[in-house]
Amino acid sequence: MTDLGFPPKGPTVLCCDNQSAINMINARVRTERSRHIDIHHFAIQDWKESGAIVMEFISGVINPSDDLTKPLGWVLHDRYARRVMGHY
Amino acid sequence: MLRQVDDFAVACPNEDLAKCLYAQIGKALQLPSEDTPPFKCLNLIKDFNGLDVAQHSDAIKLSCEKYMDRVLTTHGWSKPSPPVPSKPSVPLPVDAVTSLYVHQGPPENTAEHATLVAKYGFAYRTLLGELLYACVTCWPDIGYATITLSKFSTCPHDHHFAMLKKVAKCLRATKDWGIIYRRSHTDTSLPPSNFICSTMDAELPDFPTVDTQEPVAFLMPYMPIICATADLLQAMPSYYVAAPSPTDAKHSPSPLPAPLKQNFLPLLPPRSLLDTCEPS
Repeated sequence: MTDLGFPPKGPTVLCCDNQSAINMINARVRTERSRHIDIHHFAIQDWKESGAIVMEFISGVINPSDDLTKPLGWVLHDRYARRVMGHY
Repeated sequence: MLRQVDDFAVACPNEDLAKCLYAQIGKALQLPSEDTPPFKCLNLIKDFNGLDVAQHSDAIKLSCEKYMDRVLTTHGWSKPSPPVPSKPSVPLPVDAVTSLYVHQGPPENTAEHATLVAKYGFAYRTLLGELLYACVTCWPDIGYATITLSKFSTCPHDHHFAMLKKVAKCLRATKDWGIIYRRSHTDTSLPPSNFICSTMDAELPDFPTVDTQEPVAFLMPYMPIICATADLLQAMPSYYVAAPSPTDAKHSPSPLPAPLKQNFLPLLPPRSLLDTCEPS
C-alpha cells in the first residue's frame, strides 16, 4: 500500500481471541510448554517489538473470523457475515 | 505498440477528473488515420464483470444479485419450494465437519456418479465453480462452505451433493446481500442509501469499520485496486467506467494535466520504471 501512495497510519492491530497467545507474544518469555513451538513462529514477537503489529484481545463471541474457519449456527453466522460485509 | 481491448473502471473523486483522464487516454490511443478517439466513457459504473455496483451518497455496495439470479434460473431453483423455513439458513450446518468427512462417494466418470448427477440435476464441479465465483466476489461468508466442499469434488457422496445444494439455497435467501463500503465524505451528487448504519447488537464493541481499517481485501483477489483499502475510497469516492474499442494504439507519453498529476501520480510507478518498460 505504501507503493500505491497510501502508507499505513500506524501499527496493524491484530485481534486474537486467545489470551495466553497474546501474553506469550507480549511477554517474550519461553515457558516450559512453549519450547516445543518451532522457532520461526516466534518471529511474531519481533514484529511486535519493532512496532509493526499490536496485539489486542477480542472475545470469541464477537470474533468475525470464526465464520471463515468453522461452520456456525445462524445467529453467529448472520452476525459475523454482516460484520465482514460492512452491513453494520 | 499497445493493444487495448477490455473495459476498465477508474476510481476518482469527481466526474470532471474522469472526463479529463478519458480525454488524455483517448488522445494517446488515437491513430493519425482516425477522426475520433476509439475510446468511450460509459459514465458512472453500474455493473462490472457480473458484479452489481450500487452507488449512493454515503456508501458503495458491491453485490452479484444478477449473477446469482442467472445461476439459480439455469438450475431451475429461482423460487423456494412452499414450506419456507422460519429460521435463516446457513451455508453449512454446525455438525457438518463430522458428517462430511465420513462419507466417500463413487469416483467421477463412473455409472454411480452419473446416477447421482441425474438424481440431483446438477454436476458437482459446475455448481461448485459458480459458487466459488460468488464467494470471491461478494459472499465471503460462504468461503468456508465452498472450500470444504471442494475437497470432495473427485468423489462426491450423496450427502455432499445435498450440502452443496444447501449452499446455493442459502445464497438465494441472502441474494441481495453485498459488501458495503461507507464513504468518509458524502457525495451529494448521488442518491442516499437506505443501509442501516447502527449496530444491531448492543454488546458489539467499536469494531474497525471500513473507513478506518483495511477491509476484506484478501477476499477479493480480482479487484485489487477497487477494494484495496478504504483509504483509497476516501480519496476517490466515485467510479467511472470506460470501454475502448479494439484498436492499435501508439504509446506516446504526454505531460499530465495538473488535476491528474495531483490525484493520480501517487498511484503511478516512478517515471524511470515507465520509461524502461515502454514498448518498442
